[in-house]
Amino acid sequence: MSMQYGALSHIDVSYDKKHLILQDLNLEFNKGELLSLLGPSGCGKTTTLRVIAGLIETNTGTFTLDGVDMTHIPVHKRDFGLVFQSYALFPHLTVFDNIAFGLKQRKCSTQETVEKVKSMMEICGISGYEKRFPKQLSGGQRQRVALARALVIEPKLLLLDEPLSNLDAQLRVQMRSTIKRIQQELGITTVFVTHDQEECFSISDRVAIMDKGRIEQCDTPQVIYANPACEMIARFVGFKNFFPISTAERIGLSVPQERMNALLWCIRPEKIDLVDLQSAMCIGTVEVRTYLGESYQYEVKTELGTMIVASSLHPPKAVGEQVGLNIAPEHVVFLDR
Amino acid sequence: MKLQHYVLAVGPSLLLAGVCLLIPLLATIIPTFFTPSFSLSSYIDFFSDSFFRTIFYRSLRLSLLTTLITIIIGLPTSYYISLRKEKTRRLLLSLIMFPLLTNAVVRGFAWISILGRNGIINQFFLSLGIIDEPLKLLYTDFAIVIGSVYLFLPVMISTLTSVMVGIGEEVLEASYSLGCSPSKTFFKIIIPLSFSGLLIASVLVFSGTISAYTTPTLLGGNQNMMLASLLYQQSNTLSNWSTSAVIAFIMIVVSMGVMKLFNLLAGKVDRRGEKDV
Amino acid sequence: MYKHRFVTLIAILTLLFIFLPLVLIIVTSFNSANTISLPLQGFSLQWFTKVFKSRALVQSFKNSFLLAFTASLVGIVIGLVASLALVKRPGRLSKALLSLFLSPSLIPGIVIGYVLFLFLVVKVQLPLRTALILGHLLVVLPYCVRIITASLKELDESLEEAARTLGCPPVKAFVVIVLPNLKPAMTSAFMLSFINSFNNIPVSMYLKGPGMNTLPYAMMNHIEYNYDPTVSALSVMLMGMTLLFMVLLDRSMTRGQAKGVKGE
Repeated sequence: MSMQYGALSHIDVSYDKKHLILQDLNLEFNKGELLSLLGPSGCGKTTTLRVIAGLIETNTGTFTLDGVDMTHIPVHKRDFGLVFQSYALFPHLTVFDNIAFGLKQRKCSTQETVEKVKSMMEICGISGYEKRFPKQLSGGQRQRVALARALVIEPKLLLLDEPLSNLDAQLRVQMRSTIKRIQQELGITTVFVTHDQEECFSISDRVAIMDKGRIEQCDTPQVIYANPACEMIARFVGFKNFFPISTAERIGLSVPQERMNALLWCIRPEKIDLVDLQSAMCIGTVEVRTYLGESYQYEVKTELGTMIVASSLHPPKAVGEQVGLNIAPEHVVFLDR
Repeated sequence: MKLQHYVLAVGPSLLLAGVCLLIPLLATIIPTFFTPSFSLSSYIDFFSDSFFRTIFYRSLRLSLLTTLITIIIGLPTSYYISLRKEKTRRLLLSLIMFPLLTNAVVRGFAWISILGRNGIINQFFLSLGIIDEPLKLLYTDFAIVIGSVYLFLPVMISTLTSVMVGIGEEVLEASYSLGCSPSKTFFKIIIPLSFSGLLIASVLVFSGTISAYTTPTLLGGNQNMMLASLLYQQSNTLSNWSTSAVIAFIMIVVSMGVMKLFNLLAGKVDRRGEKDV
Repeated sequence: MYKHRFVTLIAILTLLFIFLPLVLIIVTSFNSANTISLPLQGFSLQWFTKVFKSRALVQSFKNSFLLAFTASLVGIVIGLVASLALVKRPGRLSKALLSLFLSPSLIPGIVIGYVLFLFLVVKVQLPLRTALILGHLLVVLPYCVRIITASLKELDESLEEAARTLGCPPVKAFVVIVLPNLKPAMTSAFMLSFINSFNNIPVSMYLKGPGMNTLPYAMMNHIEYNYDPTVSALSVMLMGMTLLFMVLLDRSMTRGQAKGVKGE
């Protein structure tokens, strides 16, 4: 079990007295982990990050780190590394001076500064750019400078606010593994804000999915993937067939005792089996067939409604054909909301 | 655009600027260099006269002082305004720009009412018994500086504010997160990045102050003349055409020269990092 | 986040510094006593009536108003055609002409007044009224040219081209497409020109004469001989007029913006 390193407790944030951006937010993070905040625009993930950074004051609640109450400590005393979406590099300073900025505030000696900056530049892959100015760098290079600047001060926490969203697709994939690699090497506890699910799941130790100022589920990507906490998250991670719990009985799907009060059941398209009509739990007609390459996706009209089925069964079913569907209870997820 | 149309379109303005400004300027100034053969004697004579010299130095001195004071007051004020939300910022800026739309006589008159022998300040101190005789605040260099600062502070503040806003909140937040307190951030990040704007505004304030007529005349009087009041006196009251022309040229050189000089400097300062990849 | 106490203090003091002198004028203009002093001895509108009774002030106001209006109107017209030429035919000549047209704002006002006086009135012997209008036109030209060229440059050329491809002759395209989009610029150029001409002192100082005085000059005269709240009252009225202008200017700009958005 990882050690709890820091926590936000009962955080409320609002800009005007009426509308709450964050409602009673509670979040824990463990030492050395990469925790992502994932969610649609407006869900409050950036606000949460800025609360941790100290850039936003909270109405109520506390933020503790390593046993210390950080709630009222000003930004410049928190010792966190921040990487902004726009990188926020200082335009009037060279790359070297940008990265060395934090060290200069900590009254590092010149020799030590040069050593640390040079070594961090190598880790981030920007050696040789010391004398350039931000205006002369490409997007990817500026991103690395921003990262190096935040890391070189050996911060207690690394906070990244959608650092990859301004990069093109290929660069984004490259940079996210760079960030993960560096984070693991240095063992820095990191909070990463993003709206890209694939990016998030691929590098995070844990993910906190947010919606409307609340955390809907906070767990490892594997757990979220297999057991989403609600319909929104389930859709996010690829579940497609959602039906009310009452319909389970009709097709002979057994509901475990403790999940009797659930609202919905759902299953992934690829987990529904195409079987012969006699042994099927449910029968339907193929309405639409889409070729996906490896498999076909069928929209099957059944007595419960349309089911989306993905199957690489050969030969493929034709439109209008009657098919039998089997739903194995171990692949079914029951949702309360 | 066809050439004939071009000439027709530009014609009126060209005629206006050419006949009413360029030609009169040249006609007035060129003779100052030919007395009758080319020589700088008119200018040497001007600076040899101690009366004129005093006025020249006063103009330089007070303009520099005004510029400095507007910088010192303007920097923190602009910083404050740049931190406000957009709505508040616009309100504050229009409040600050409002005096600019009244004329210089109104503004000069306001300060006469404050600084004069029967002005508000003297009334206040006399009534409290702090002084027995009214203070001489008007018709001094001090009054000219206050009036000029009052005139040009809005220009300094509006220029500086827009430059500071252009720096962007995130850069400041990056600085805080790296351990730089707000006051240190002001000196290490905001001032360097506002430098070219500061230069532009300073040039405007300096040239404006040294060329101004109404404020020094109303607040300085005949004892503390500046170049513009001198020009008016020499030309209108004394009909000293040759001296007036000399003064006119000196004024042009000083105010435009300062502008050109600072344009060059500002260009150099900004050149760092201008090359794109 | 951060309190910035020191900076807030300075900012407040500065705002007070900028505003209190004007507030002083406004307040003392209502004094029933003959002096400019605080506290007020009584409330009275006598100074406002005195302004209207002063022939010098009223006449000079009319002069200034008419002058500013004429100069601004002519200014935006010649400024418009000149700007069109400069923007549609960029090059070294246009660049030089642009500098020339903007130069009156760079040359000390008193010098402009002086050379105008010397050349137009003394040497060429133009009537004072003509010289005055020309002088104010000069003052106004930079504002018109600067604002209109900026607006023209922002205007998308393809709008005009689209009109032409749809069968619209060039002149009509200009009138129907370009002019309406220039309205906010022309309006703000007019307003700015008006304000600067109305408030101009140096040029008017030289080109004054009996019956040809401008308001600022008449005010200066009045102050020299009378130290009473008459000028305060006049100032209050002028401030009101300026405020009205600023509001109108702001409205014309925002209306122009809304039009542009609708068009997209």
